[in-house]
Amino acid sequence: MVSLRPAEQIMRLDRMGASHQTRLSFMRALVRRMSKERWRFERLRFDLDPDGYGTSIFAIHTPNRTYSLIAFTHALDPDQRTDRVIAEAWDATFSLFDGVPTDADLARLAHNTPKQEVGRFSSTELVLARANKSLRAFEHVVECLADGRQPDIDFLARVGYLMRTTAVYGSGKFGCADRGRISERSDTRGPFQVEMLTVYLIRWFTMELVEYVARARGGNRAAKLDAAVKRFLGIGNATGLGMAPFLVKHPILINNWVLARETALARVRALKLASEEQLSELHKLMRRVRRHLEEWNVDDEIQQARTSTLRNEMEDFERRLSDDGLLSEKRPWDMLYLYAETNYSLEGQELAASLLMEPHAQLVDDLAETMCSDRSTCLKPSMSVAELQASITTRYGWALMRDYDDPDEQRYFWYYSEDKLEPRFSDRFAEPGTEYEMPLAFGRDIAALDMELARAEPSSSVAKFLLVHPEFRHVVRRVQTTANFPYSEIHDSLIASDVRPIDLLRFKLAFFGASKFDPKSDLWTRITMFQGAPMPDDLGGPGSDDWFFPVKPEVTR
Amino acid sequence: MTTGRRHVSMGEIEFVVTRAAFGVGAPFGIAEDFAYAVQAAARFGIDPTPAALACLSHLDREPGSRQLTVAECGTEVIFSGPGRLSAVFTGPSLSDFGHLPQFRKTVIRALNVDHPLLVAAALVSGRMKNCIIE
Repeated sequence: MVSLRPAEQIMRLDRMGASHQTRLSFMRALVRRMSKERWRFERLRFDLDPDGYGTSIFAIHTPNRTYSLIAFTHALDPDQRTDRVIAEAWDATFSLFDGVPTDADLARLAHNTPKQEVGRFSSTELVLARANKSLRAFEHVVECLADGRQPDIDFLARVGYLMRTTAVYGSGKFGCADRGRISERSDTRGPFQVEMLTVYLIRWFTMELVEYVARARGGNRAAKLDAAVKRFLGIGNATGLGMAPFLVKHPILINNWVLARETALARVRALKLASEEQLSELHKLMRRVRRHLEEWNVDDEIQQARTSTLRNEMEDFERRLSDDGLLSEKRPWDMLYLYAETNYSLEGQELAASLLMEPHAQLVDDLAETMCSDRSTCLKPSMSVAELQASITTRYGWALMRDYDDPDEQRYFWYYSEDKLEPRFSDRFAEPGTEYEMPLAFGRDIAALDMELARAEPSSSVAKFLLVHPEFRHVVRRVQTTANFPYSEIHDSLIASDVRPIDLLRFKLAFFGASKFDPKSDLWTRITMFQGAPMPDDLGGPGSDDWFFPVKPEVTR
Repeated sequence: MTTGRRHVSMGEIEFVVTRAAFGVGAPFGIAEDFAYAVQAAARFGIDPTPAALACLSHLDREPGSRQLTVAECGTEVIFSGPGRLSAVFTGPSLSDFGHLPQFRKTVIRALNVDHPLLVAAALVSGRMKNCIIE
């Protein structure tokens, strides 16, 4: 047995901000399911003008039901093209429909989907999304294909996508279906599976769109996009603070994500022997990972420096893998992991962990089924004050040891913007609005609860305590809800002066399976999704699940 | 839930009602429970919007409606206040007391509540059975 890494090591913001995709990431799990269950893809409608503007319906048939991506593409004035949440128009807007839409559904959505947040939706719509073209990349591909040539892969590799989503909304937003509608379906019960499916379909739609526009422009001379290029191109995404509160508000779900990953790592580390086959696969992966790291270049100085260190560490890790004695070591994977933990940066440690899981599908993949949770929070009114306080003392040492009288410990506050109902983050001592603070500072609030409990009668019940102190109700609920979930809390303050929200985004996006993190500030990042994933035609074939850390293909123009 | 001609999701109810209750002075945990109660009413096919709005307005106008007093009188536990009690606060507390082992076989009574429907909904969402709301 190898113990799971403890929460006090794992659930720290700096390590969360060094997370990498794993084979348990949600995009990987979706693609595996699509391959295994032979989901069928069908283009039901593609009514576009020669510039690619119009209405399309792309359907996916699972063994159980059909979902349809309804896409509206629009001419967009360049002045209106922005990735910011304040945008009011986009190159393309999408709804993921539960089933096949009727003409009436389509007419209704044609009126609402392009309006995004201002539109209204119904429980047959599972996801609402929008995307903008990477104008230079899209136009370059159209121009080349229309001329019968393949695009410049070096140029495309610097961008990584032809379209980037700027929002993907699910779970009841703007009248769309609540999570409850899909949470019992095997197709969609995993975390964020309908959102990932939507992005996957947008990627397919984008490839069809670019070829269509090229054909409209070039006629018979037009070429099709090389299959390797298609596979290499992902969908870009710009992600901001909207994601961060989610992690705090879903403690059991987050526990299940991390528990699955940590269990996977512990299973691999516990293996007594490494096979030649696994070692060979890992060697192959190492070469690809190192090439991927060479291709991962961003403007952000912090990330670029970290990536540079990571390149050196992976060079070293490859040397360790080539050690002749590795196969004869007792628990060789554990030895490798512990070496990384001792010698590498946090990025290096987390990438080593991801790598070690990769050749162990049989040992790991079943854990993807354990990563969802529809358990709600709970309150136990009959618990005694003494029991509650003991629970805090046992599990919240990290919160109790901070000095919340120090202004730096409470520098920031989180709130929702009035216009877009999006989370925001401000300096408590410089900006107004602290009275609207969202309850995300559980460390601080649990420390305050602990002080108040110390003044209460120990044998009294939580019910009686809350009658007098209703202001602690959400905090008590938090402590009681998380009691049996070791990875449910982030062991750092989310309001201290040194907090970097980008760490929260990176953690969540890594679980999604994103790559090429490209931070634009401490508050938002660009990423690429499904880069390297098989296109619908390739699903189920060899290599369907082999797209960990994809690299630029060799293409003849 | 469909109210009038507009479909509203349970997620939207939770989001909006929690913030509305917080906005009229309910602590966040109480506001969350109020939202769960409104969801519970909606699940029963009742449009809770008129009652929820009136209840929040009452709490906004009469902050004293949050002051609950609990008295044990023989075989009953009675919740009362200086004026009409706010359902926003009464629902969660009533539900909490109903979970205490010593009151499992006791009648818990809440007197002079502004919107009994929403207290009943809170008890449904808290899975309580032994309460009377007047």
